Amino acid sequence: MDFSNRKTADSRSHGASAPGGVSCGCETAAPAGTSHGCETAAPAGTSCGCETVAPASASCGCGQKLPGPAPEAGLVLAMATVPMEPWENIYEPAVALRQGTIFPGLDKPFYVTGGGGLV
Amino acid sequence: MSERAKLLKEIQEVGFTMDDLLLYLDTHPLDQDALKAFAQARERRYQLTREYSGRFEPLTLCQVCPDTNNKTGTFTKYPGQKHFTWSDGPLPWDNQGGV
Amino acid sequence: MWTYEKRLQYPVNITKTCPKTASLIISQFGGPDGEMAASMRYLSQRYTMPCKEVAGLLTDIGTEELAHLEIICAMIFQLTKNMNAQDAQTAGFDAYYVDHTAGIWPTAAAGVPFNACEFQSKGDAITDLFEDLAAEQKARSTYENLIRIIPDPEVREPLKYLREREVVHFQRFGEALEKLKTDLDAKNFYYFNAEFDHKR
Repeated sequence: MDFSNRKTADSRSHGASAPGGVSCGCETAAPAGTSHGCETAAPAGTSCGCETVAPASASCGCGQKLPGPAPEAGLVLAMATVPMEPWENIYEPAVALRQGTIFPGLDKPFYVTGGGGLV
Repeated sequence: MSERAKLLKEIQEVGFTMDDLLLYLDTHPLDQDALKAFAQARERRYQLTREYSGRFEPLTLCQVCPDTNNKTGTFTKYPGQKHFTWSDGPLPWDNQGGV
Repeated sequence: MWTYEKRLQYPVNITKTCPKTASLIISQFGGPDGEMAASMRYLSQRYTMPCKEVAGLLTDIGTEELAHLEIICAMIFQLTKNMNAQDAQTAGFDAYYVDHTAGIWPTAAAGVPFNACEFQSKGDAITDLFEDLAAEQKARSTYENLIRIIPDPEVREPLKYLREREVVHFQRFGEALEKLKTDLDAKNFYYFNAEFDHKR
């Protein structure tokens, strides 16, 4: 399918944007996945939300803390993200059928019927 | 557990492994580990279902072969007669057959 | 199209008659967060999905949900197949019995018959996937509600299995959403509806 128009998104809704499509609307652009290095507050009249900053793992270098993960590559405002499951050694078939999945990472028992490891 | 029930249980287990791998491969189509696991499960399932449909009833239409199905004559209305073996075996939702 | 395999995806072997339990688990057959609604939801949404791999996932999960409703119906069947008239008068089951005897008919535990209002196929790829994510969580919660109040292990084991499948399906729909995003502009996922605004 041709989505050739998608790169010419309306410019008024974005400030400078980082590669990887992450924008904090600040004057400075950050490489994807890194802090945007905003040592100083955004210029008057623009907001990058940088009055507050994400917790250490996703810092943008300014003052206070956000109560949750900050926008970054893969975590975009107004959208939810579920991480991709990485491959792992799968259960043997008999165990898998009992647990309801071959993937140990997705084996999330309910306290009434499980939770003490493999039954 | 009867021989039939034991074999059917193994088919359920490897069939389920394939079902869960199927969904993973739908979203990870290039995962080589998953592709390998899928190929192994598919091979095992093929062996098991060939054995099962010879000794007992066919589980899919493709397995229906009145000359070679159900040699044990289990759960059939027509033991000893050549018949349409698709109706052999208990109904899947009825546990009168044990599994 | 569909082929049929003459076995259940998970074994069901219930030895005790209990119409009361049947009247509760029937919600996972014909109820708002049940397997029939899930199956019809995904099998309906798949046609206009712009991404082929996501349409494939919807087909495969929609098919698995048919196998799950079969498990639920097998449970209801085994719980009620040896019922007598006395059993049928059990509170919670008696009204259903009047209209259906021991027959199996898709309805919710609260009595609302299965209907298409129980699912949505919005024709917007992102919206439909969020509908699906929510549906899997609702189904999980429903199974947990059932597990809490039904102590019989013969009934609990298949319910526990079905609950875990909802967790796995949720993960896959989340991954499908990531796939959809790669075809859209991360600066504005809502700039257009990928199912409608750009025709093939």
